[in-house]
Amino acid sequence: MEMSRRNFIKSTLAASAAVAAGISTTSNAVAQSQEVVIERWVKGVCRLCGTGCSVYVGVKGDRLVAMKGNVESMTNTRGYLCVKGMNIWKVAHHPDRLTKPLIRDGKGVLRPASWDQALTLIEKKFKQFHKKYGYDSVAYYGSGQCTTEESYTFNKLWKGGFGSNMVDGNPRLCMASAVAGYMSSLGSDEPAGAYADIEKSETIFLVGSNLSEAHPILFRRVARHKKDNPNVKIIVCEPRKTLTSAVADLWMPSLPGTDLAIFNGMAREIIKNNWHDKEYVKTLGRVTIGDGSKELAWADYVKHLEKYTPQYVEKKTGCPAADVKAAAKMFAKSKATLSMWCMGLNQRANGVWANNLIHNLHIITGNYGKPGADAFSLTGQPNACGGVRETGSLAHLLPGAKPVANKKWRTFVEGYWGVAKHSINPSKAINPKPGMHAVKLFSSLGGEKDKTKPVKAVIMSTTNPAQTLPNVNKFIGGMQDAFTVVIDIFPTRTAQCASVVLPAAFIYEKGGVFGCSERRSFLTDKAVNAPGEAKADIWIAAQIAKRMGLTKLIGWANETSIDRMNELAWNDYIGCTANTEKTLKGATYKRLKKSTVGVQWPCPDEKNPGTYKRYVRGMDPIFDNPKRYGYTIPADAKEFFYARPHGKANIFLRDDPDNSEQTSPAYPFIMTTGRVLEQWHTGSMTMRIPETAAAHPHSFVEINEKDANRLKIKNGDIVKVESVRGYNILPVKIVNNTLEGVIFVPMHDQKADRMVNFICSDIVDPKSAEPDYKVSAVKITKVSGPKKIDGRYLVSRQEMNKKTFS
Amino acid sequence: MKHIFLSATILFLVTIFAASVTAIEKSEHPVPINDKSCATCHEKGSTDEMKASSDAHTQWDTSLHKLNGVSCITCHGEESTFKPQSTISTCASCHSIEVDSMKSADTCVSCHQVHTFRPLKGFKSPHS
Repeated sequence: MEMSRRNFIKSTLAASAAVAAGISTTSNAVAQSQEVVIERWVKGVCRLCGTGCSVYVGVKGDRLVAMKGNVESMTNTRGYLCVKGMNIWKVAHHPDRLTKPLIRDGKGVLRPASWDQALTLIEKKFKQFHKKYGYDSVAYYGSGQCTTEESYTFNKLWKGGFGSNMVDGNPRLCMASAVAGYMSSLGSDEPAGAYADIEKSETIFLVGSNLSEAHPILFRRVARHKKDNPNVKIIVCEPRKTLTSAVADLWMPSLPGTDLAIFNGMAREIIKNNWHDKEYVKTLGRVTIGDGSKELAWADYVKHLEKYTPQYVEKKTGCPAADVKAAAKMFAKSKATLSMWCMGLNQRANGVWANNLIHNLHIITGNYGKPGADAFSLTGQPNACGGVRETGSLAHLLPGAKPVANKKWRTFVEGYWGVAKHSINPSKAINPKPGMHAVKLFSSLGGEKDKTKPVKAVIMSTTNPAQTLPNVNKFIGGMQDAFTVVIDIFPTRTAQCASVVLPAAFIYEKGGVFGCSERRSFLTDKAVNAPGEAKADIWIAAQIAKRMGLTKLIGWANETSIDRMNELAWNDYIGCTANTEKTLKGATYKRLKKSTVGVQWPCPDEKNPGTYKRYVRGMDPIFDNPKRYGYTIPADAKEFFYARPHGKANIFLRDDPDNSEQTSPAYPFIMTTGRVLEQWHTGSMTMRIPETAAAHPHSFVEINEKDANRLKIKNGDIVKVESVRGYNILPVKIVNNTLEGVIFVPMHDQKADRMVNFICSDIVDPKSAEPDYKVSAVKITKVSGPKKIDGRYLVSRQEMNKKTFS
Repeated sequence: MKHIFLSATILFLVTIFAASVTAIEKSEHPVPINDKSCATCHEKGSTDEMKASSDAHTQWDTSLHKLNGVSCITCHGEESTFKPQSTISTCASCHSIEVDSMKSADTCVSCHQVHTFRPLKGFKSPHS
């Protein structure tokens, strides 16, 4: 029987040498002829960035063998995938997978152990520290890569079961400034709009985002929109002229850390030219300063902006005055302007203020609440929004992203969880005091002998702080001295510091919900079994709950099916947040199982299709019954920022202080960090995919050609990049696409002398506590001419037994 | 200028930073890559110009694939997973809607120029 093209493709996939899977060698002839037969396709979401690409994983037997995009997807429209996404399945069967619990012995060697031995040790230590040092001496550090069910379970265990808010996660390092920005400017976290605004916009302002490499599928949507609509204006504002600028009408260069002046300068230009939306400002804007409590007059705002002349902005930022004027016009004169930003704004000493100033531009031009208009913060991880922000798995939050300090909400959550009945903390209550944010947590982590360190134990899941914290050398000793438990699928720098390593299941081996940047929750189904003794995090959390006497608090602790655990945890979560604006009450597990596109909150009931645009009557279901959510919305309000009593968005007076580390004659360059297309985070997965490893096998330093000439450095030369905190030894890449005095180093390399976070500044934003990875003062000295680099470096199982990083 | 700038940047990236790939004993590529970038051989006028696909890189340099980060490795793999001709299933990883709408005898390159991916003249698109 002749197979049709459609059926052939449906049932088979070459999957870029699927048989090779990155680990075996296959001859060309075999690779060409062996189309792998796919026995079934299982729906899911991509494991990597925050775009939330909808995928199908191809399964043969009990193995992943392929991946394809979902053509129905609302995120990766038409089913496009990037090179990372289409290859990520290959890590599942990599020989480096951790498959058995490991306990470090007295000689520092990680020895295989049974789950019972590992969990017994964790139970013993946690109970010992709770008794000796208090409940806040044991912390949980999670991730925007855990499922929502997992994050919710650990959060409930700690805050409801232990009475401790010592729960934080790696979104603190990437999204905290966006959270604080949304909260302070609009009153509620996460974007008002969605990716669908891309195709409806007339101007797109990309700022602090190398979209082409960090979110390639969204960049494709932007590029396609521009190609189909040449009149659409694209502005790119960032220090480097990357591939993102290839589609731009205007590239606005800015010295790292200075762009607050640009945003204020654009606002000044908009108002000076009378381009602002006076009616919108009058109805929905509110001028304020500081913490937002004091209302000021519009005239105060205009006066505040006087300083930000185009000339001042040019001098401060390096952005030509004419570009500031041109950008202001494009932003204000379009019928719908969409701003999108990422870590370039968030990972900053003034990250929250930078976010506020973007919101300012949208408020004064009326660019919310209509198709194509929004201020949209992009996330870097697949479940930073759904799993951590929305479940409140940060030190200062509770489910629904409401503060622990909010007594009314805390009391509700205590009742919903049955804290008075189940907690093992004698207070029988949720602690009203926030726990420690990430940098403070790891600064406070240490061994029992160190009386200056109050945190004695931490369990870390799906994250790698021994590589990702800023000025990381400062924290490694504490991680090695304390009782540290690491849950991961591969050896990492953090596992190298661990007392206990627990082997984790990969997302397609357990299933669960991820919530992406556009408020969309999507359920991944389990496709295959985890290798060896690897377990899902929710199972691990359940075992700890049982051993700590909290079986009744975690109602799914005794379940044996991971799918059933996930469903019960999800039901508990959506019940807890049903009466918040983040409600997913209508996104039942049954609905998510069936859905191939996911659901955007607010979604109050099963008939609701999910919400494309918030704060707008007729689109946002909160308007249908605001009292249920604790809000009052006037009957005639078409648009209303309902989380505020006045329904208005804050226009903040924010200056442009130099809070980042400053250059000096000894350290004359500004170093900024970021992603490259083919790698992701610390490379623990993408450096194990042959194709992506080959494309970016090691880090480098990008230097402006004029700076290179002055330093007498040539392409490929080896240089030392050094701050007051540490150094890297890197090959040089000379470019003419960045400002003089600015260098760039990618963040993915695991090799000790190429781990850029040894160099990075550990200044944090005073409000969000997010580190300033984007601005560090460094010097550069030549080490040698070109040399062969030992690329594709990975921490091995053997290296996990060494105290020092190689 | 923009084009030249981007070409130079990408070429440099590939040339310098693919140069340290860990040596693989058994090459699947027709000849050992020996740390060279794809462009070293597959760009017209390059120092080690090969007869096969000598202008492949030049053509790709003007393509939407380049703009969207679909580079040599995406379709051809790297040294150990190398495929001289990308299979239609690889195309379908992203373009399954288009592949579904094709006649069974066709391949993508029946109508699209191999490395610019532009439609060849005279072909009527079967894609909706």
